[in-house]
Parts: sequence; C-alpha cells; structure tokens
Amino acid sequence: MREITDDIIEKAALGDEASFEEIYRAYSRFVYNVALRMVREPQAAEEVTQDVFLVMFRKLKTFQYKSSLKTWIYRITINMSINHAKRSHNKNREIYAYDDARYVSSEGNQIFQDVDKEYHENVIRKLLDLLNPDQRACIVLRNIEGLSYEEIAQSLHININTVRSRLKRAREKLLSLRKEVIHNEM
Amino acid sequence: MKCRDIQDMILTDYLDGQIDPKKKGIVESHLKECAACREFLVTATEAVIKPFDHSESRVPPESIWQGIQDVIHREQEVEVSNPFYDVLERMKVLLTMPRTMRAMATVAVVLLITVTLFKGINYRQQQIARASQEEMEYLSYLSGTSEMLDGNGGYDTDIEAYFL
Repeated sequence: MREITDDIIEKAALGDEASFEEIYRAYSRFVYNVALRMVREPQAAEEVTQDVFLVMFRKLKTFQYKSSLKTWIYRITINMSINHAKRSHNKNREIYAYDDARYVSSEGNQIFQDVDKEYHENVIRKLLDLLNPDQRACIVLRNIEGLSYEEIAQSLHININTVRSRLKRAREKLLSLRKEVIHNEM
Repeated sequence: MKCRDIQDMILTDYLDGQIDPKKKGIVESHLKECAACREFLVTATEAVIKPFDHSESRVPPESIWQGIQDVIHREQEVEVSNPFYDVLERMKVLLTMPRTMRAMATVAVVLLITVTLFKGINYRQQQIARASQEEMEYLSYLSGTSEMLDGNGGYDTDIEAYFL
C-alpha cells in the first residue's frame, strides 16, 4: 500500500481526482472487505464502499488531521457498515451467496482451492451471523483485519475496555455455539 | 487469581497478543498449574481464533470506482452550473453540523444581536439626553438666566470662584 501523504490529501480535498483515486486505491480493499463482513451481501458491500468514499470526498475539505487518515477512514467505514447492518439485522438472516465476490487470484488446483475457500467462508459467515453488529465489528477488525485494541477503540469511538468487553461477549457466544455443536454430535 | 479471571484474560488480551508482560507472566504461571485453564485455552483457540485464520481478502470490483467517479462528475457539473452552489453547500454544512455546535452558534448569534441592539438603544438614549440638555441651555439663555448647566449650576472652577 502506497503511503498517503498530506500533500495527496490536500490535493484531493481541493477536488483533484487523481489524488483521490490514490486514496481510493490505498484503502478500498480494507473498506470493501470490512463492509462485506458486516453487511454480508456483495451488492450491499459495494454500495457501502461507494458511499464511504463519496462521504470522504465531500468531507476531505473539513478533515482536521486530528486523527490519522487511516483512523478516519476506518471510522467512516465502520459507522456506515454498522448502520447498514443494524438496518438489516433480523430483517433477513438467510445465508447469502458470495457469488459476485472476487477471490484473490491464485494458481494451482483451482477447483479444490475454491471448495476449501467456500467452506471456510461459510464457517466465518455463520459465526459472524451469530453476533450483533457491534460485536461483529470488533471481531472483524480484530480477527480478520488485525487491528490493535487501540485502533479498534479509535475507529469505533469507544473506550478500550468496551472493545475488550465486546470481544469477550462475542467470543463467549462462539464458545457456547461450539459446546452446543459438540453436545448435538454426541 | 481465580480461573474465571484468567479465562477472561485468555479470551481477550492473551489470545490477541495484546496482553502486557506482567499479566502475561501471571496467566502463564497459572496455566502451568491449572489443567482446566489449559484446556480452556485450547478450546478457545479452536473456537474463536482458528476459524478466522482462513478468511480471504477480496479485491473490490472496479465498478465501485467507476460509480464513485460518475457521482463526483455529476456533482462537479452541478457545482459549475449553479452560481449559488457554494452558498447552498455552506448552509448544508450549517444544517449538518453537530447539535452542540449548532446550539453554540445560535447562542453566539443571539448574544451578538442582543449586544448590538443594546448598544443601539443606549446610543439613542444618549442622543435624546444630549438634545434635551441643549434645549434647556438654549431656553435658559433666552430667559436671561444663562448658566451653562453642569448639574449643580456652575463649572466648579477656580475662575468661576474668583468672579463669584
């Protein structure tokens, strides 16, 4: 990922499309993947990603450099994803197909790899479905995107101990699911 | 430390590698002696960490950027064709600013208006007072009892005292 300098941010804030595209190229993968995990449907994730960058483009003029651009983008992404997820929470809990999503290109035995990936994706999706949007956001940022507790706290605008308690509750749910599955198998 | 506290730490800071060295030492020395917590560590790793190890990072479709560009171009066209766009945007900023900021801005505007009005009224009253004083002086002059009024009937100066 190319580092985004203040110069690029300033140019983008003045409406320079090439500079804004640099910001997009640097962060779109993070935004899209977080949105995909949060809202489940590829089409909704695409809409959230587009909305995140449009909000950024409009608000770059007022970006205060109080937080880093990265934290600011994380925050917009998470807020918009959580809002979207809360709107659709409980409304539709069916499992969505990831048919439109693109895997990272890989070589080798594509069929077996795809089957394997599909299996893992299915597991992750089902586990995330168990959690409410706030807990899901913490798990996605920590387990999938690898953010530190400090970064999660800044992105969600919450206390670091709230991050801990959300992670703890989310993981307790996952643990109780495991116990349930083992109990049913026996 | 109780097993419950150790397990809480395992479930968060320890599994995530975010634990400080002192607490890490406490957890690890507890683990050496407690089979139940060792088992909990294995189960927790299997249930809450490993499933996410295989998550795939996906490449966003190029259509997203194209969509963004389309919207930006449309907005820029509106900006160029509408001379009031800038004013409208500023008003939009005012309307979308946080409630506390809006409240503070309103208080500031009300204060400014109050101070301006008060100053205006005060100035007007001063003008009226000055005009009536001038009128009094003029009337006194006409009636022959000319004294430049200063509130106590004289200037209160040394020259005045000399003549009086």
